[in-house]
Amino acid sequence: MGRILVLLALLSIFSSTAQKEFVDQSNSWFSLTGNHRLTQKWGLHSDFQYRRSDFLSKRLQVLGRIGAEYYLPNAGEITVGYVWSRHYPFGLQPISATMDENRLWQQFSIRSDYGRIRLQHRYRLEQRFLRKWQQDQSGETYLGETMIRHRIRYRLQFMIPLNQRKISDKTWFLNISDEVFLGFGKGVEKNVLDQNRIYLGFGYRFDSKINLRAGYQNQYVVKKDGVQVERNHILQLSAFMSLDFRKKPQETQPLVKY
Amino acid sequence: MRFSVVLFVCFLLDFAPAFSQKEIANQSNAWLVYIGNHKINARWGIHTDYQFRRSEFLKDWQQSLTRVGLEYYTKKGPQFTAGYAHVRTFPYGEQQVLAKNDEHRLWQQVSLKNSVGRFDLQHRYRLEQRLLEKFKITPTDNVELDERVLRHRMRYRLQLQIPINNDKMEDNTVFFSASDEIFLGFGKGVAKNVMDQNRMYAGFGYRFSQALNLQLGYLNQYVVKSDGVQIERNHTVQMGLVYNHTFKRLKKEDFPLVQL
Repeated sequence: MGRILVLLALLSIFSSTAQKEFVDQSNSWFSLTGNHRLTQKWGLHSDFQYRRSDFLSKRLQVLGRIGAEYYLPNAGEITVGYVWSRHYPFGLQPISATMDENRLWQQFSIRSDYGRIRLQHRYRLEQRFLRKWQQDQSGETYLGETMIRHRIRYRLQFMIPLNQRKISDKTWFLNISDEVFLGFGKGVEKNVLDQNRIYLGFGYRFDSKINLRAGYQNQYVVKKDGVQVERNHILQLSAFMSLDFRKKPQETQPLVKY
Repeated sequence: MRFSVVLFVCFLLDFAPAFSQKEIANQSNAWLVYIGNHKINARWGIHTDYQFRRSEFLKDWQQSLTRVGLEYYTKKGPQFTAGYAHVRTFPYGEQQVLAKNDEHRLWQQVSLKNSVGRFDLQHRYRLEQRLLEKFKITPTDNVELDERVLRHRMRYRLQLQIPINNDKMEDNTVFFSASDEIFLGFGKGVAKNVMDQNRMYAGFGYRFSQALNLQLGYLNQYVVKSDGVQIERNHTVQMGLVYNHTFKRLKKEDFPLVQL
C-alpha cells in the first residue's frame, strides 16, 4: 500500500505546470558498468555511457566514470571517483555549444532485502567543473572561466526477481527506481530541483559476473531559469559486469548491484 | 567506516544553499516534542505526537502540532503509518503570516531501517495532503480568511543513530543522533518553493528502556516561503521524549526502533 503511495507521489511531483515550457523528447542511452572486486575491502568501479538524442539519430552525451569502492558491513559501500563527460547541443532546448565536464563524486550506498524485494539507497555528492561557452558584446563566442557546481543525488531502487525467489543465476528481474538531483551551494539557480529520473526496466542475470537490462527512463530536467523543462523519454540498454580478482574468491560474491 | 560519517556530515553541512537575492531571517526557537508509539498487538499500533513549538527561544508561540496515526508493522521490516495532524501556526519572527491559522493534514508514511556495523540508519518517507487557510487584507485594512487550499508535500528523512556507551542500542544507552529531512512541494498550486524545507538535526539521547528515551539536540530548520525570496533559518533547540507504552505483552523484537 505504502509503496504504491510512494510511486504515486513520484509520478505526480511533476504535474505542476505553472508557467513552464515543457519539451517532450525521445532519446536512447547505452551503458556498460563494471564493479570489480579486487580485495576483501576494495573494488574498482567503471562506467561508460553513450547517449543519443532524437531517439538514435544525433549525439547527446558521452560519459566515462571511474571510482574506488570500499565495502562496509551489512552491504554498505562507499565509492569515490572521477567523471569525464562531453555534452552536445541537442533537442529543443540546446546548450549553445559542445561542453566538456570534469566531475568528482562521492557515494554511499546500502541495500537490504524485504522478502523477495531488494531495496537499494544510493546517495551521491558531485562537484562539477564546468566551462561554458559565452558571448561577448560583439557576439563572439569564447570559453568562459571554469565554474564549480555542487549537486546531491538520492536514488531509491527496487529489484524484484520474477522466476526465482532470490536474485541468483539465470534470474529475470524487475528493476524500478527513482532518483532526485538537487543543486546546492554557490551558483545554484532557479533549479534547486535539477533532475528527476524514473526508471522501469527488466533485466536478466546470467550469473554473478554479468547481467543485462532494458528499460524506459523518464528524465525530467529543469533548466537554470526554472522555466524551461525537458521531459525526456529514454530507451535505456545496460550491461553490468562484476569480476572477482581476489586470489581466493570467497562466498561473498558481489551481487547484482546497480 | 569513518568515511561514511564524513560523507554524511558533508551532506548535512553543505546543504543550506547559498542563494543570491534572498531575504534570510536568522531566528532562534525551541521545540518540545512528545512522541508515543503504542503497540496494540504484534502488527498494529497507535502513533501519537504533540509538539510545542516556541519562537524567540521560548517566549512566544510558533506552532502547536498534534498528530495521530495508525501504524502497521510488517513481518519483513518496513513500517507503514497513516494519520491525521492538526497544526496551528501563529504569526512569529521576522517573516510573519497575516493571522493565526489552522491546518488539517492527512499523512502517509513508510519507514525502513538498515544498520552498518553499529550505525543504525532509518529512512522515513512521508506524503502529506495539507488543507491550509489563506488570509487576505481587506480594503478596510482588516485581515480575513480568503480561501482554503489543498497542497501536497513529500518528505524524506535519513537518520543516523550511534550508541556511545554500549555496542548496541539497549537499556541505559547514551546515543548520538543526526538526521536530515528534505521537504518537496508538488502538484497543483506549488509556488516558487519546490524545496519547501530542510531540517538538519544533531543531538544526543539517552535510552532508559524500550519504553522510554529522551533526546536533546540542535535543529537547523531552513524554510523557503512561497515567493522563493523570503527564507527562515531557524536555530532550534529540540527536546524530545519518546514513550512506547504497549497495551500487550510483547517480545523484544516487536518494538519499533528508537525514533524522534
